[in-house]
Amino acid sequence: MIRRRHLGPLLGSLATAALLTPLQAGAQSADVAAISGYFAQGFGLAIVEGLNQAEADFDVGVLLVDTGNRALDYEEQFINVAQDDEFDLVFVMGWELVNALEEAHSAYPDQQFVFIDGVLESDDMTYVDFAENEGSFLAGAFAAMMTSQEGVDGINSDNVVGFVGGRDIPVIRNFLVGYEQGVAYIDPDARVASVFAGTFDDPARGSELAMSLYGQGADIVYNAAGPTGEGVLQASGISGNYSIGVDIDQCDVAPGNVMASMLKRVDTAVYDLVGAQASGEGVRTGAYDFNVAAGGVELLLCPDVMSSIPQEVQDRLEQIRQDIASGAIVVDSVL
Amino acid sequence: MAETPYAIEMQGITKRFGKVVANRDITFAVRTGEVHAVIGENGAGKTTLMNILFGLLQPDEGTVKVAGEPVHLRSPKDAIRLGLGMVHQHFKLVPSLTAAENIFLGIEPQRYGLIDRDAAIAQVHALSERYGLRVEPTAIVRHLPVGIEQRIEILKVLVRGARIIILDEPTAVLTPQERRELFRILNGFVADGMTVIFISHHLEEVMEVSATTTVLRQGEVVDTRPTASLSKSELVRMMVGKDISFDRPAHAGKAGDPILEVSDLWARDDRGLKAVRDVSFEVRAHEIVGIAGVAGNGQGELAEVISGLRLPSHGAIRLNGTAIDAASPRAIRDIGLAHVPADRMERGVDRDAPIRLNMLMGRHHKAPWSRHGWLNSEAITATANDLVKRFDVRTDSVDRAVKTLSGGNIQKTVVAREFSQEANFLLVDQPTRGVDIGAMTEIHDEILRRREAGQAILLFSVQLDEILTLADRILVMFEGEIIGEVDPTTTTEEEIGLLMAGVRGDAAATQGSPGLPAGAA
Amino acid sequence: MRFFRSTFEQSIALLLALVIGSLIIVGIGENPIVAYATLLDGAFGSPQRIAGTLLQSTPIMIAGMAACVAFRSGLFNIGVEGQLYMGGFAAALIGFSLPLPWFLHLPLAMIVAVIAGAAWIAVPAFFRARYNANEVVSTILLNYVAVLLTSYFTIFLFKRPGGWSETPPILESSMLPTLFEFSRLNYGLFIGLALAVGLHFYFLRTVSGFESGTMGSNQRYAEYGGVNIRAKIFRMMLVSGAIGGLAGGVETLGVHHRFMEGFAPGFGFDGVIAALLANANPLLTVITALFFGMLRSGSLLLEVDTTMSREIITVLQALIILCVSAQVRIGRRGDATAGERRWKY
Repeated sequence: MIRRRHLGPLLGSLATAALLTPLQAGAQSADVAAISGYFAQGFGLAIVEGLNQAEADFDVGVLLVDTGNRALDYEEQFINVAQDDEFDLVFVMGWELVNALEEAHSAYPDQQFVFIDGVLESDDMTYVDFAENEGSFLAGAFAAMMTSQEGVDGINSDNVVGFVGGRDIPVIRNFLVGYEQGVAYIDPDARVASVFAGTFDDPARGSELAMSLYGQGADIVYNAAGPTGEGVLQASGISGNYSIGVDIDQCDVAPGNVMASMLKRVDTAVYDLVGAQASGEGVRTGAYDFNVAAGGVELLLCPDVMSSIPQEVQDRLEQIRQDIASGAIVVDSVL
Repeated sequence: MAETPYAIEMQGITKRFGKVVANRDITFAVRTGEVHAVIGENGAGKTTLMNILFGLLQPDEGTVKVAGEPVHLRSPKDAIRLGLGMVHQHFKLVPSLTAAENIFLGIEPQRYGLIDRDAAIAQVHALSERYGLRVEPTAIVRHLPVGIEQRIEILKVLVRGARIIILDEPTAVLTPQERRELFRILNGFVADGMTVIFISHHLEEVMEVSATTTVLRQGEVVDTRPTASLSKSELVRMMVGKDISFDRPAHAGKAGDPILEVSDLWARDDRGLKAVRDVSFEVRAHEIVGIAGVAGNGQGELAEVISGLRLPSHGAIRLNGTAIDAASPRAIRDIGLAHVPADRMERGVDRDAPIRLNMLMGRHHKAPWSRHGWLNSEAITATANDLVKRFDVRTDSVDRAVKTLSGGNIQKTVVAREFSQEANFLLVDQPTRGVDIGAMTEIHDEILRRREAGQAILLFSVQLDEILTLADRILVMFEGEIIGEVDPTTTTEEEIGLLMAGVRGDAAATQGSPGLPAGAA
Repeated sequence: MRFFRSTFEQSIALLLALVIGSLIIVGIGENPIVAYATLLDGAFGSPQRIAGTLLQSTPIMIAGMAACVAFRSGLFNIGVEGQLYMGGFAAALIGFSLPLPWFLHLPLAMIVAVIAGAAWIAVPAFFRARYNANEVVSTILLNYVAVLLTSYFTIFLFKRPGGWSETPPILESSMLPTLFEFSRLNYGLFIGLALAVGLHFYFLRTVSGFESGTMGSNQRYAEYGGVNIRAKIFRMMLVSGAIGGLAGGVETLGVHHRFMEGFAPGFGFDGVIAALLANANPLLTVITALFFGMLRSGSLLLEVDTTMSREIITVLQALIILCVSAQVRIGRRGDATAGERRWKY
């Protein structure tokens, strides 16, 4: 497939001549594109990893389209991607793109879009939906167990754990609900001190908020705040308290102080869907639930703090995981 | 080096700018060790010739020899290497640096790769000593008076090894004292075997300082003569091509009703210091009142207050019977002010705008030059063309930017605009500063015509001869006060000079001025 | 004549920038011919893309007019970005909250955008006019305040339920109609062009415009000639801010139909640069704005059709600004200064 169109004949020949050099000319079994403004950040990086792995394993062509931050550009970028029916799947990540996505979807109804990390109104799009509430339940249960430990450095006697959210939006609320439920499941008397930073892009603010939570007696703070959350993790390293990362493996942000990471396995999710497409099985519309049972969310205990996590805590956590997977524990959701 | 009595020889120099010939076949030679004056009206080609000599311009034809050797001056660097130095009319100093730093800018003496301040200061001291160019090397230029800035410019040239020094209109900005000081320094240079080329259009100073004079007119050399063999009137005839009278013109009219009345006026300068102190005077119809004084004694602030550009701190001003001390410049113009400002480039014109719009500034908002808020180009152009003709502004089109005109023609533009207003009070501030003698007499004639027409004129000038020639009464300002009034028909330069210096002798105050501050602090 | 010479010089500068840009593209291991061809394809390759280029140019153009008004008057409104955000936000508020017939609703929303922009510059304008306080600093700082303030209001007071942080969509009665079925390009383009022509005549033909321009070129002379400097400074800054607000209003009412976070980052600054490159000449600003719009819109295809990052366009834009402004500097050594040029076109 020659990836150059709408060019005047002169430019066309020039460019084609120039283009005989390598580019992603695709004779592959599938072509996929991914559109987002976050490929350089944690969750977006995980998408890129999943796609790269899929590209290596399944003989697919992959194109990444960075949207930048200008709302005016989004719609044209969707059109550029969708208009030639070139891609079998187009992954989309980022809530700011939803309006443009919906426009493009109605303009190109045959283009299969996969919206990552949320469910929109339309029934004939595909959604990758992570059960962040279930993962957060595990994080909450873990935090509650750890805060009642004795003899661990940096763990105080107060029964308080913390939470820093990015902005007060439904998906972040869903983290908090699961987290609170997990804490209460272990210890109904434990308190969750929660706060929203109002932004996903301000690590300094994250640090500041985490420090104030530690000051209130919280010894473990869980974050669902993107780059803002990195500030939370760094704060735990500075103050000698503990934190829990989110979305991807964040154990090395503050080694020894990040106790765990609640992983949304978006890399797995993307890899699985591309694989399904490449194998000819195809990807259906509607939501794919990446929950605890499906291995879409999990709580990774950081290896470098394993020694201070008692075996009974680890066992209990595994038990809870199985209970959620089996439906014995039902986690609330606000979505 | 060839043996020759000449430091500089320029032969057959021709320089054209488009259709204009700025220099036509000029042959010009300067003897080593003399002060050689180059004199001519603005636009006569003096500056062009000097720019060629200094490598800033390349001649279309002709050759330049320095010390007998033919040279090709591609840039000022070449000229400097050959021992030439030029002090420009407009100084090019960095105000925030010290005198020494300015002098050595770009050629700083170094030690271990760092600037050697002590060496620089020592060298400035040595040169200052040798030529009587007193400059404090560590003074910040911003705080220095113009006369000192000029010395710094001269020192800049000296430390770069100049033996032939070109000074372009060096006295335009100087007080009489500073001018005398400069001449003393120039004579010192000559005594030391250096050569000075001195560009001017002031007859007196040329006669005073130079040994030889070359007169240029319309791009050509009129003659080169020993200065001693020339009379003032002869020089003028050579410069302008006709005789010009220096006599005080007869005054037919009699002073009429008071037009401008200033009483107990106080005002502050930009730094908030008292600049005008308890000034009172009046200007009547058919009268020219001159305000004399060394520059910077409150004249500028007084003029600004009268024209509405500065608020007085106390006192009253009435124009045609109306109080104007809080009125806007436009309102004061409507009441009857026309104003030729002291600094034409800063206040008097928009140098980038075409002549026609500059000609109508101040009444551009009135019919017929505009209607319902729209400018009327035809009317503006017609009036501007008319004024250009009437006031003999030399340009080929009123659409040209003002800055394409020579200094004298820019001043004539300002004068044309202001003198053609329907105003019965003229505030005329330094009307002929930096203007050649031809334009000067035209402007003087125009001022006198205004008086005959019955207008009241307040004339500020730091040039004493101008005030003595034109004014009917002279008020002398010193440190913000009117320190005395003299009658130009009976006074002497000494009397005014003492007043300008702040000496308030009985002899000086015999006229009994109404504005004489009795008990002012 | 001078116009053509200067246009020729600008073209040389532009060419130089493109050549340096090629070297950089080669340096990152890409093919410059492909890059430029894709750029042109993205900007002009189809009617839709041409419309996209015009769409991108519109806010830069209107913001550029805001900057022109200030620059010509000798004032430096670097706060167009902030005024644009305030205008865009205010227009959205009117747009979604008041059910009115279109002939009232659309004009009202525009007027409120204009007022919001003017209000946003009012404080710097007052301090500049009354106390001669440097407007560059105050207007720049207010940019950040505007972006954060509108973001705060959007998130905490007017957020549409669910989804991204954005206001509810505006009512149809307040929408600026689009020109074509296939693009979001709307009548805002004509607002920009009309402003350019209007400002051109304002500065060249009206008494007020002549006084503004004179103030910009020699304030002390304008004062001497009877211009009320303080009032004029205040008024011209308000007009500049108002046009900045209009730029935002047009984006809301014509394109996004809502206000959201990341509304129009950088458009105000691009407008300022477009005006600077054009010597604050409104008609030339149209051209520089179209050029910037072309770069922006063309760059979108770079992402899809090549392995190059769109950011290369930021580099290219910076190079062009450097080369063209260097050319302007060099040009000043000749007889045509920036100040004089304004009388020549």
